[in-house]
Amino acid sequence: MSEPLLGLEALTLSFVQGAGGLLQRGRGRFTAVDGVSFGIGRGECLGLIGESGSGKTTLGRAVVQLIAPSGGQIRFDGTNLTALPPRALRVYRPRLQIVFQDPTESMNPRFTVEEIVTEPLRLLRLGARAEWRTRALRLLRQVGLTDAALSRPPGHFSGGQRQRIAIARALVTEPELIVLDEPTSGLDVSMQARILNLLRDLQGQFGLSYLFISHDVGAVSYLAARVAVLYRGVLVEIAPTRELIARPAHPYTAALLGALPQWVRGRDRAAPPSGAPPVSAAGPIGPGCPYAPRCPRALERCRAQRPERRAVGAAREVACHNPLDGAA
Amino acid sequence: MSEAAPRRWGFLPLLRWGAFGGRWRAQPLVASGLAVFLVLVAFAWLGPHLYTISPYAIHPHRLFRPPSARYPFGTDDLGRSFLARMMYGGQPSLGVAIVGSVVAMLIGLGYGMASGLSPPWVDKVLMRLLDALLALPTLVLMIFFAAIVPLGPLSLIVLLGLVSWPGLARIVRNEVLAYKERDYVLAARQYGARTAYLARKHLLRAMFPIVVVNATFTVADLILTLAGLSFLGLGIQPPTPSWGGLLGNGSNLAITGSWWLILFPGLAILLAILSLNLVGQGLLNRLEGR
Repeated sequence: MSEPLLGLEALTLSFVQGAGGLLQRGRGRFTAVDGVSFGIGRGECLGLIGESGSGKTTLGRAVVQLIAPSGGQIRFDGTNLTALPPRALRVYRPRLQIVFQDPTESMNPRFTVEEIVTEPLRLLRLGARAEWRTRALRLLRQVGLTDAALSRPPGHFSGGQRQRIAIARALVTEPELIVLDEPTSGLDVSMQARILNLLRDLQGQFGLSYLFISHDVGAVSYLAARVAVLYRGVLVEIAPTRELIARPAHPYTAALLGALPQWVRGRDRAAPPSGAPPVSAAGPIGPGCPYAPRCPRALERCRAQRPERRAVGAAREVACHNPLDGAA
Repeated sequence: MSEAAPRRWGFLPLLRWGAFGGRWRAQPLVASGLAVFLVLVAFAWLGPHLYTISPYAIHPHRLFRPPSARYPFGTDDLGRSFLARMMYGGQPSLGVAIVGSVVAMLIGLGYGMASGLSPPWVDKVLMRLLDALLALPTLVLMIFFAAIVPLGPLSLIVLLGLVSWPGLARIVRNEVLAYKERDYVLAARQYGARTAYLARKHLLRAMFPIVVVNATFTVADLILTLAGLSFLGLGIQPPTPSWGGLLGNGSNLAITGSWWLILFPGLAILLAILSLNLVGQGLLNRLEGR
């Protein structure tokens, strides 16, 4: 297999905790993303699921170069972006885009839609100034908005329409990969479906690759052919969507799917025991598997040794010492 | 410019009243305050065109006349028309305060934005400097300056502008810190936006309502400070009238029983400050969604 469009290799993102005042120097580091590796091919959509605080959003922001990683590589179209100086990175910026979770936060309320959509062009100095407006208009029509939207502020639009504007802004630089950071989480169900349909249409039309970040397994399964599961910054399982839902291999995946209503996960499988403590209650990750403290299948080994990711079946990998039988 | 070019000032409508999210009719505080203030402004600048008696003409035979048809506000200790003096006195009182507040807003906005956008240690230094400035009482500072600089409308504008910006600077700096972590600012940074661009395009517009509110309060403050200075004999110098100076003069002459020399300048100052505070408070309520 040739090199994928986007390839993460042992990507690690950690932050210094605390405000970093004069007296607080050298306090602990918090690792949000811990040695994550995966690839996304051209025209592929990879889903990334996990509960709040699992590092999904941080990872997405690192992919579009909003946050500098503390370790590992982000390879895009054969180039390691993490090694590039900012000037050289500019060439890659238009090719990587992001749609943020909250469209009210991601658009300046005092900008007109025209300014919002054309801002990437202005900042990246793409195309002729005279073309910007026609480009913006074409994209707004493509995402289902009228020409009148151009001169209005984002506050005049509904949540679904704002997310369409955000999508138009992401498309304006003609990207190859778009990170979708929970693009539908703030919307009602019918609007979610329409946005997902729009995203699917656009993907086909422009041959886009998506990294679809969500906690909503249903939405992910609609758009993504493969899904990666993140738990406390560690990638615990990656598998084709259908297999993952039908027969989760990692106990955490099973627990996550167990939170779904029965009509999604299928009648035949009972919900795995939950009653697990919230993420924040867990202490720092020890030498073992990060999920071990909550895991009903944890062995002695799980607490002592971090499981390596290994292939299970054809296109499936799991990082677990004691995976569920279904997959094996 | 071709038809398809982006409209450079297309955002301007977003900065108007809409920034405060409402209609005039829904804002009795703002509307009434503004009406009163505009009446005062008209009194000072249009009044002299209608009531043409000179404020400097001395009439030794008509000293301390109470209000009458010919002298609606009476006459002062030199027999000058007090109405004319009140009208002309409004010009430096309101004018210096308004322009001085614009100066203060510009400095405060610049300092606040620079501090908020600077690296944390620069920000810290700038803010401690601000604390030091805020600790100095304005009036005392003004008395100090008034002792070294020749007083006139221009020097007063500069002095008042120079002493009354720190409050706004702190507010702006805090707002900038809040705004610069927004996703849209991060996104702009991702596209290689420089700090100057963020300040100009994103933050300046966000600061607009705060600056407007602060400006109204500052004008009111400056009217009072200026009146206080004139009252002490440090503001606008006689024979040029100013409301504060007239009030000071009137209170010195209180023993003559000339109540109109105290009532009218006092009322004018009160109305100016009250009306501006109504406007400011109304806008603030709106901003905070009350």
